[in-house]
Amino acid sequence: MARFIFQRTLTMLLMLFLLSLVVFLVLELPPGDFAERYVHDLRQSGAQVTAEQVQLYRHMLGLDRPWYLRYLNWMSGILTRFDFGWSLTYRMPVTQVIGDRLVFTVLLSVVTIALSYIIAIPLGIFSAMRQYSIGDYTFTVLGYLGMATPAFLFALILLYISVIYFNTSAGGIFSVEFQNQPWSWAKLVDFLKHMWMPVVVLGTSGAASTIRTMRATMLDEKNQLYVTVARAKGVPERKLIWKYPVRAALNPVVSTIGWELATIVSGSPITATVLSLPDIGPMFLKALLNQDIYLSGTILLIYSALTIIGTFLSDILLAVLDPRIRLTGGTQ
Amino acid sequence: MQLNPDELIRISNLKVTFPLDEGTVRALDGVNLSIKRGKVLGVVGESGCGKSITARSILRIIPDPGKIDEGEIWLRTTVGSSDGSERMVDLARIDPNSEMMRQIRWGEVAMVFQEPMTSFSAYHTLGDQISEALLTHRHVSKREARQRTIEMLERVGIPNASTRVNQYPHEFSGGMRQRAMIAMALICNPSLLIADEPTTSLDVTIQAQMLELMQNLRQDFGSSIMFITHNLGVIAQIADEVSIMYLGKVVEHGRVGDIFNDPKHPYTIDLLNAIPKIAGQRKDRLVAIEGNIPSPFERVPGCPFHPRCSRMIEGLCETQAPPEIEFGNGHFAVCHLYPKII
Ligand SMILES: Nc1ncnc2c1ncn2[C@@H]1O[C@H](COP(=O)(O)OP(=O)(O)O)[C@@H](O)[C@H]1O
Ligand SMILES: [Mg+2]
Repeated sequence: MARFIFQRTLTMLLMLFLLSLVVFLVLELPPGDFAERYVHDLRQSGAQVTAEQVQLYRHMLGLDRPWYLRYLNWMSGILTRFDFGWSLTYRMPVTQVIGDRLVFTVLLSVVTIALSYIIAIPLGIFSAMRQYSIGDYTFTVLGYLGMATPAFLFALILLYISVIYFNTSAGGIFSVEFQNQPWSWAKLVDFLKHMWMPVVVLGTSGAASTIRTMRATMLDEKNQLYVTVARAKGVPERKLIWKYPVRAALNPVVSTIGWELATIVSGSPITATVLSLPDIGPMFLKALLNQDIYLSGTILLIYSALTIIGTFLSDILLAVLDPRIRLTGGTQ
Repeated sequence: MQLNPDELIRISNLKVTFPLDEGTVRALDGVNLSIKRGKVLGVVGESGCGKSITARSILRIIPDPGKIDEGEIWLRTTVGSSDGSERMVDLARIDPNSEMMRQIRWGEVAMVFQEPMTSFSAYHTLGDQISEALLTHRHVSKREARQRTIEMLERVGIPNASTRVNQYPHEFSGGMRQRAMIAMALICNPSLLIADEPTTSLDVTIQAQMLELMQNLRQDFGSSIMFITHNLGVIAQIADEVSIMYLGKVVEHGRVGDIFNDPKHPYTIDLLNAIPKIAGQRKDRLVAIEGNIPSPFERVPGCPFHPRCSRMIEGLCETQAPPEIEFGNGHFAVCHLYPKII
């Protein structure tokens, strides 16, 4: 087991390294750089800029050094000081620019995933154990609706309902009166009032498909011979359901947690725009347009790293849960 | 209904059907059989004749949508009595989800299934699954249960039992898993052990070892055994009595000597002729019986065996159900060939 985790960790680190390299190179690819863009904008507004000044400016920003030196510099900053570089447009460290938004995005994703699993897994089990009951049909229909509705549309519908029927403005994360206020009980309540909507919007489709997967695997597992053997052994029904088929059915579900993380993180920008959340998405687009490479690089790096880390977590969880993978060192 | 003093279980006129969309499958069509205390009953018949469903009926674990329509399964049991005295219950009639049934399962009747590869959960150690049986039915601590599990594993011939007990099913070969299954089945010392083709899925040399093991255990544990097989050859080694099944019915029953030396039913005779005579050539499948088993949806009028019978009597066998003829010593056959006067 220890060896397996060690191997997987090495693989993950290697992937992260390659990823950072690719991210950096991709951002280097387009012709021109930030200095050029900046000067271009200055010229547009009528300022006189000489070639030497451009060169000087470039030197000041360190943009005249070869790409690998800049890459190394960037990486060592990240690894040693958690410094993701300097945002050229915002004129402050990247961590400061995106810090809050990043924390918010990750928090939103984690809460969404946790809630959707906590709700979906028992529902899936329930549906399978009471196959073809009214409850099963209800969850099936809701599940298909949940999977088929695009998140942004769902967001718009919820916004509409909350504004028209409940007379609350549900966009953003705080009501106007709490913006820029210190944290208080009332502010927390207000925060939760706003948070349910993005959680529901982002979590529904994942929860719906988790219900489907859980139900299907449970139906499959509960008719397996080993379950009959446990029943023949006189193990009480409730206990045997939780011990055997549920245990087996959890595997495919758990194995997708990592990917779920990636989908939610990358799926949030559209929802975030609709619900006017302080998400990273819109900022990413702007950074790309301005060739603010440390900012866009950092965002891209974090998005992709979350995917890799998510997959890593899935692998480890799967190994912890499945003795066959644990002992053979994993299937590639 | 009263069981004879030497009887542990008696099944009479058991009918089980599977109502499917395509029609109703008559899996069991009036099974009669009885197992004496401490004795081994061999149940023999071709694939699909209802051997497993008979066994599963006793434990009330027939797969959906199968159900018992008719018949009785009387078992002598001490479950539910405070002073350990025996009484008789009709397993066909009690609620399969009742506490009584739950205690009978494995506490009194245990079963070794045909497929050792899928009988255990891949996610739990063998030790966990075996000691679970003991913990469910006997008042023992986890430590004792584990200790007993290790002893049982050694008893059935699994080397390094104290390490193996912590291993998962995929770390065992099919033969070893079946041994573990037998250990699990015997750990609560059941009064009836059902072995449903325990060796069919194993290769020939391992089959022989398993049979030897079963014979040794039989002497030590004194459980009655219902030994199911489609191979009459193995029955001679292990059984005291034999019931021959065909299409959901028992067509002949008798002591093993009577069945082998003086078979009465044409089907039994065909089965005996189908045993390869040369040692080591034992095949897994019954060969050389002419004709096919009719579709399970069909209802064959008269004697169910008549379409394949070499001694069929025209005008009788295909129209009238054959009578049960007794030949003495509990040997009987269900056949038109023998006039009732005997
Ligand atoms: N799950 C099931 N669904 C429908 N029919 C079944 C099922 N299990 C068994 N049967 C039917 O019951 C009959 C007896 O099966 P079984 O007892 O398994 O035979 P065997 O003697 O090979 O053990 C067969 O005709 C089979 O078609
Ligand atoms: Mg069978």
